[in-house]
Amino acid sequence: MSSSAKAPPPTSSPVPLLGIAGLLLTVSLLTALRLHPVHYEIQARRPDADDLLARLLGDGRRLFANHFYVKADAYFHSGFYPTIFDDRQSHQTAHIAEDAGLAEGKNTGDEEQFLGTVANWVDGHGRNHFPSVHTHLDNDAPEAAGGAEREILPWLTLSSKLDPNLVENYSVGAFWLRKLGKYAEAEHFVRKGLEANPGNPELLFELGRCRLDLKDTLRARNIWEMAWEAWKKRDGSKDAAEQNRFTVNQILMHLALAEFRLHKQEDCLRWLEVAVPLSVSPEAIRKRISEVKAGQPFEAIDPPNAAGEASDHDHDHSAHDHGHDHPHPPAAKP
Amino acid sequence: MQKISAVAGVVILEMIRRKDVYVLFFLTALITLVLGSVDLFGDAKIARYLKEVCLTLMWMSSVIIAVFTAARQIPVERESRTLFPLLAKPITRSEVMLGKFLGCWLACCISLAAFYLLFALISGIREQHWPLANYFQAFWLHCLFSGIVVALTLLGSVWFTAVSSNATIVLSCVVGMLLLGRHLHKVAVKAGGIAGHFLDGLYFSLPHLEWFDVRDLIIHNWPRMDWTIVGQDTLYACAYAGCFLALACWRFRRQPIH
Amino acid sequence: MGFSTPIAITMTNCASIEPILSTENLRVEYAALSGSAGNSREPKVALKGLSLSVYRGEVFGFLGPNGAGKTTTMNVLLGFTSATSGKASLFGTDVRQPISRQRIGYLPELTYYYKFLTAEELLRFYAKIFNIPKAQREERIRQVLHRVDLEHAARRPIRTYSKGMQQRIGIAQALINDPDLLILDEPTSGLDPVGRMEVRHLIQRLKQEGKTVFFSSHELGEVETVCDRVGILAQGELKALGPVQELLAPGERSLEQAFLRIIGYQAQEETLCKKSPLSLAS
Ligand SMILES: Nc1ncnc2c1ncn2[C@@H]1O[C@H](COP(=O)(O)OP(=O)(O)O)[C@@H](O)[C@H]1O
Ligand SMILES: [Mg+2]
Repeated sequence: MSSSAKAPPPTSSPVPLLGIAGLLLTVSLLTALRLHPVHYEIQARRPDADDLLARLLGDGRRLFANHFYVKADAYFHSGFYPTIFDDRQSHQTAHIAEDAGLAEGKNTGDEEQFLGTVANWVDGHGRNHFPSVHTHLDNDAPEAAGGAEREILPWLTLSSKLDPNLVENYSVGAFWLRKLGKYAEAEHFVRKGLEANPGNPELLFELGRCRLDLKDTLRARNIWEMAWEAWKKRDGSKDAAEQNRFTVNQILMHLALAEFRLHKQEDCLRWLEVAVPLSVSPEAIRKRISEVKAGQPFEAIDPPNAAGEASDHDHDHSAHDHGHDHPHPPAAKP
Repeated sequence: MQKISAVAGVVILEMIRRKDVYVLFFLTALITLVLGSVDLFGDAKIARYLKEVCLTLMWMSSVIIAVFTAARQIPVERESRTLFPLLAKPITRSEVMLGKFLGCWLACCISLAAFYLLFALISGIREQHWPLANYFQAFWLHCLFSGIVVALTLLGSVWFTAVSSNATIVLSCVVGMLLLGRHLHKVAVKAGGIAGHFLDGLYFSLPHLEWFDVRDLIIHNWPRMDWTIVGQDTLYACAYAGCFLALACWRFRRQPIH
Repeated sequence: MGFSTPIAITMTNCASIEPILSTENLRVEYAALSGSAGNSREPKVALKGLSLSVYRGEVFGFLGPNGAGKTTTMNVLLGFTSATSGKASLFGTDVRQPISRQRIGYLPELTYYYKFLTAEELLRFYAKIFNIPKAQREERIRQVLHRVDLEHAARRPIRTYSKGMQQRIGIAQALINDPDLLILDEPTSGLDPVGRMEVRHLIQRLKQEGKTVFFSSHELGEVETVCDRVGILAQGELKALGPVQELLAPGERSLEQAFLRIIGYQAQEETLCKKSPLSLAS
């Protein structure tokens, strides 16, 4: 009949292989789109590589590292996470870091509102098929309190392997490891981070917290002093606007706490005085100073911006938008 | 009905005798097991990343299986000319098409059942927890998804002559819908104007394949979905698969075979 | 050239019988191929008003050079291609109805059957399509496999079959429903002399069983020996129809000579002959 009739019977073609490769590529690209990096400031802090090739490779790895860091945060929310199409005003910092007291909360608006109100029946029905409620693994997740926070660790590990300079991985990972009672693993993880980022104040701060949890207050104090020195070297020379004041406040407040525990009230007050000019909300610290002077106990450490931000949140979840050292009580869902 | 099931039987036999599905299955199992053996801070209870990897590989495999099984059917029968002796028998082209659909869909369901068993095994060992009803829901929705994809691919295979172009088009539509389907309306609102109306048209007319992907609910141990929602999804999938199949039959019936 | 009436053929008692296979003024046009050069606008006319009837019990040879339109005719009869105009029916039923194909067996030209099936599975598949009851199915499969001498390879995948075996499995599937009418498209093409002889014997045996055989060919030798009637097609037109003996013009000894004359090859031959002193002498 036609010439095709003479053609040999079709054998297995390379089409499936090509298809698979294409699919993998599309999927990875589009997943990258789905979990869009939120943390732009992380990129800016990185030193520039001199070699172009290394830089290109490095940038690819960093993109993925960042992707997996964000993924860890998505896991912290049991899969509830904004995409680039959603309203992300309410999710600018990773809650894993924020809840760990390692990053400043910058969120405005309510996390429940990523998705907005139900727009139509497609949207409404669709919301039954993916996590559409805001929860945190450590308190109100469907399976909270069973140590489910461990689930974020693989992604932090992977991210740290891809980009050892992304210090958030180590500090956040160590925080949640400590919460799971894995103090040795936490310290080991932070030390790995310090190997790649010697003298990093954030990591030194987290290392101190590891020691504090192991009731080694003295070592914790010494490490935090190192962290303070390191911060001065790095951020102290910058303009006030560029400084990472959140970190330094955490360091100084913990130094004060350590001194307090070591029964050195003088030193405790000295650190608090140092913190006043560096704080975003000096009032809170002055209040703290008078409390210590009055002989009240020094326990909970609020990040310095807590007082200023609390008014923005009248929601249940406002409590854990700010750094806390202690697990939150399970919040009732509205 | 016997004619349809006979055609379907050949499709299933072919899938069983070809090696593609086994390769995908063992790749999924292998990658999952290798990742499962990684030591993470000495914590053997960490399970969700493994569930995610396993389910993601399963989803990719299922899309590949569905698209490539269905895309081959009619063109290969044409090319090897087996369509001639088949259609020379007292069978209508619609019956052939329905048989192909049934065969491809059942083949997908069989391979999915194997995949979900693997998944239940891995996650069960890790989590010491077997939410079988949840897994069944995920499996069933996945089967429904495969049904829509198979029907769409069969429709493509009577429209486009080349297997590869059909497979590529269907694959990009399916992946695009999975990832963007949920957001089309928001994009439409932002775009506004004619483009907005166009995107909204797509949003309301295309099948929302992303509904059938409940991976995140399974990975993060969310409570089981309401069965009425699963029922509605079933009707929704049947409606779309039915439309695509009807179009495919209509087109195939009018097509000269030479 | 004399178009003989069916009555003049082998059987004397079939005047009142409806034809088993018939076409009336069948015209088939293929849409112009976009790639073809020159007259790409005009559709390709494969059949130009073909009228043909085949009666019960006869072996009908459908002859014609390559591209004459033989396969196209069969494609219309089997419902693969729809005719541009005209009618075609099998057993008095329009070919557009699938039921018209219940009592026929068809052997396509150059087909590769499902390679991953065994002969047995392939025949079982086709038997199901004919709705052959389960009880009879296995027996029927055994019979046809025996008939085409493939019993020894019944459980081997068709992938491993030789060309001849492929053709035999094709014949087997055409016989699975014990058809009354067989439509065979070039059943001997690509076969070795032994295979061709076997096919010839098979056709003769089918005739003895009272079956009707409609087959196309351009192997004139075999046609001569087995056909009751032949139709000669060229460029989509039926040039001659009748028993082999009636088609021979005076002086012609073989069908081949008649065939060449009928399809119009004669003219060239004559010019060759005129130039050749040898042919003048003869
Ligand atoms: N699918 C098609 N498209 C266009 N032309 C075709 C097609 N099939 C056959 N033809 C043309 O129709 C004519 C008859 O072909 P066919 O019936 O296959 O001849 P044969 O007698 O050799 O079986 C030929 O000229 C062929 O080129
Ligand atoms: Mg032909």
